[in-house]
Amino acid sequence: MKPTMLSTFRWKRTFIAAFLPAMLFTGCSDQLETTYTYRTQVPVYMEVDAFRSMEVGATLAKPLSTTGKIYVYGDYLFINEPQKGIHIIDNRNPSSPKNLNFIHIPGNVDMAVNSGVLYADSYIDLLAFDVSNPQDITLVERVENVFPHMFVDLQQKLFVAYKDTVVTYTDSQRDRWWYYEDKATFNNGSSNGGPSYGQGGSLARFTLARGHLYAVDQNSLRLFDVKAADKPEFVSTIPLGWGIETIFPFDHKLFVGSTTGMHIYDICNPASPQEMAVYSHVTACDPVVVNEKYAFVTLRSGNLCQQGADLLEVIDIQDPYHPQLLKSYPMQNPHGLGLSGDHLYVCEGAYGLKSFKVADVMNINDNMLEHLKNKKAIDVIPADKSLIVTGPEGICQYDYSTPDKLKLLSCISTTN
Amino acid sequence: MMRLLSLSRLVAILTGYSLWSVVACGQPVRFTNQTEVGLLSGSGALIRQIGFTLQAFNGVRLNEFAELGATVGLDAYPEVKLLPLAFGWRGVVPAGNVSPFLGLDVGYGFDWLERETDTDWYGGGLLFNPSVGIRIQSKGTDRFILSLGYKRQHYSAYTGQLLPEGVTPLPQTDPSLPPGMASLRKDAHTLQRMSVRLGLMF
Repeated sequence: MKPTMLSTFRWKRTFIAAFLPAMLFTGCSDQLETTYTYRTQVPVYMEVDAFRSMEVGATLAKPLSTTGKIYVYGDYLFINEPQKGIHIIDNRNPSSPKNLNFIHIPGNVDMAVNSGVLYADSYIDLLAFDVSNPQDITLVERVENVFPHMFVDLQQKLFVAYKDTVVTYTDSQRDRWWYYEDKATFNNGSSNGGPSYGQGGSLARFTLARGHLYAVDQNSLRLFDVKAADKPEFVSTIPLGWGIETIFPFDHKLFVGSTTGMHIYDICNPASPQEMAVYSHVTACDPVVVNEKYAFVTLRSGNLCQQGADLLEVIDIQDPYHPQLLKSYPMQNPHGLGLSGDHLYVCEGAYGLKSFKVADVMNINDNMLEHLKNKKAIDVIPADKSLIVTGPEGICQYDYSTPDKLKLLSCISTTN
Repeated sequence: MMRLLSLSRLVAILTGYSLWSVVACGQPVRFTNQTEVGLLSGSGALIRQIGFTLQAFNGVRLNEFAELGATVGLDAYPEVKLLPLAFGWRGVVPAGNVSPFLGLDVGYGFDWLERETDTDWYGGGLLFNPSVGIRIQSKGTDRFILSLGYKRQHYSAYTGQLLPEGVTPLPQTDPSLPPGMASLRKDAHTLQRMSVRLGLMF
């Protein structure tokens, strides 16, 4: 009996000595669980009937959570909250703006005001509100199906809108090769996917000129006759090519900035814009601003533009049929810009706001007046009473009566 | 974080209880230290990986069979360096010059040595390290230690992309994404390593 027990013990010991390390080495491979979280847009299909039964109209004032386009009309600021509606701010005293009320407009991104009538897009429709008394706002007209690029069926009963959202998914994997390949794909996809949300999407852009409302989407110009302010009438659609970003009216001309160039249209006959020139050397991402002689255009590197340059370009437009590039100035990350007389204000994104004297267009860089570095600036509107600067943190107003020394009047912060 | 808090509470209670039991029994408190260096070996996902480990167990002797205390150290894996802080227990079978012992360390590995940027950072995680070894007594009370164990360590690596300047997405805030980020990838690693350690007791 005894030798058997001893041999059993020895056998066990040998077994453990031989196999325990092997088990430890082979049985223990690492585990990896990867969670991806990213912002994206998901399509939301809506029935036209259901959309038209949604609530529209003025409600109580609410705090700004995110800011879209801004429109200045008289003593009032109209601030778009993307896809939700428009805040109306009483700006009679720019040092102390008051949040008056909010107009609920589903799918709204842009607006314009003409003789007390506010035009606002609402997915596929154009709405007109009487805002002559901001305390009593009424919907006066709905022009249906004028932004038809959103329809997904020929019967025009269903359209698609895109909703920004955050997606999370988890993936358990053990194979390291898959891990690296997957990581590379994910990073590429994400940077290419950058333009798919936010302000660079298929947003309409509105402007009013010569009794007409011009609304651009990504590839066409839609024209409405608004000579009777409360009865906007759809006139026609003019194809423009791809990548339309902004529209700026000046002196019987429309300057349309696109990602591939600047289009100049003659609107002497406002119902039938005639193309004068396409200046296609620039990759313009932001508003073109114009005076009698020159157009100022910004180029920005980054996701929304295809070119890796940060520049301010000055283009001679004295012969609008033959625009000529005069000079380019290096910038840091220029977004919107505004022109007031001889003073140009350039929003440099996270780098702040710069002001220049541009009387001598060949030496703009030597004539920088101020650089407000602590104000993140996306767009600027030189309004009658104040210079309105928008940014991710809110909307600030400056007294610019002394152009070389901006004086902060007030800021409206966003809640996020 | 909740897990970490409840764990540290458990460590505090157990340490407090053992100290109390030592003092209450009228014995003098005897401290013990076990300092070891070694290797952490395991198959990563595809290739064998060797890491370096340094740890010091500081505890009190409850009796001749058991020691209780805290373990601190440094674990340098090829991908990440972590600072472990753990509740430690040692069970000893006193047997003359060569005494076998069992060890258990349960705690948290902190990522404080890793550099963080706006788009890349780490998060520490729980650790579990049972071991078996021998204490070899040489002249006097100095003892050498040889131990073999299993170390399970969690940690996370985060890689994100910031939103392009000027883009304000909706919703602006979401608990699963830090503000200002367009995307975030979290790799939750569970490392499983065999630990081989040599050390000294003081």
